[in-house]
Amino acid sequence: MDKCLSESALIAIFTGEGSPSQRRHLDSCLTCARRYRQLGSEMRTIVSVLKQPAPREQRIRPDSTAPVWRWSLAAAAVLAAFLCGRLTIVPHGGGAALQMASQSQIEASYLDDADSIQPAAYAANMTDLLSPIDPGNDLTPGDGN
Amino acid sequence: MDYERVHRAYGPRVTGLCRLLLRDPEEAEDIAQEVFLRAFEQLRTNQAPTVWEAWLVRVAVNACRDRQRSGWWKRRSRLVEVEEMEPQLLSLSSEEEASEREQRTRIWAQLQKLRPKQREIFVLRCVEGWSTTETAQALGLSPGSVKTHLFRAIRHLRQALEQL
Repeated sequence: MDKCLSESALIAIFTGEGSPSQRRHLDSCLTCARRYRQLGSEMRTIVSVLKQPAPREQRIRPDSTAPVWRWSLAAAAVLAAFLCGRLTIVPHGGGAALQMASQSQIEASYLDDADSIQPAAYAANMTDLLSPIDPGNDLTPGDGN
Repeated sequence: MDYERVHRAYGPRVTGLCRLLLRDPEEAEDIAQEVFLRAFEQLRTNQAPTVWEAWLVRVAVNACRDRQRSGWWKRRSRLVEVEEMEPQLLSLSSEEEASEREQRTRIWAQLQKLRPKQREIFVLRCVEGWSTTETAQALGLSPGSVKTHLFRAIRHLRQALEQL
């Protein structure tokens, strides 16, 4: 084996799992031997630290982030539902377009009605409207005894 | 073997294992007590395991897992690094001591960042000195899976020292 050992191979040798060919390479390669010594030193440090009590800086604190996340998700879900509802009710083009369209349709219908009214019929209608409903009960001034 | 001898022989080890897995000394004590209560029950009912060490570790690992899976545990806390160094200690400590202290903090922080399975495997293989086969049997995994998790755990923990 000419190629230098990978990190996983070095770890395998360190934990007693390496193959004979990997061990042979380790014995013959100075670079890998140096890397292996470094790994061994680091592992001894890590294990010795973990065998001691945890440092004082490590504390358990109440989890203040979880409720914020939950509320944010709930708010996003409500907003999404609201937007989905709006998009399904309002046709493409938005509310303003719909309002403008409705207004123009109403105006057009008024114009159509105005064109259809004839002058004679209009005058007759106005006469009916202005004539008293019951002449006997006419309360116009100067007519009373 | 009677209960007193089992407790004396394996008590500190089980507590230490729980402390590494749970990262909370008080909870670790609590779980260790539960483990030895079960051991007491085993002795009382004449069902004592043939190998106490393996049995205790397996029960302790499972108890720690159960505790971490509980909703109460998840809601209760998250581990954070708090810079609460005592001023007196800081002023008295030398540069070397401060460096060692930082190293310890980083290593513990990296351990906390490991996935539960990686942490269990690293602790059993490297701290407790179990073999791959023993670890695989205790955790119900294949030896290949143990090797993979161990490699990832070691690589992750070494980063703590590279950052210094």
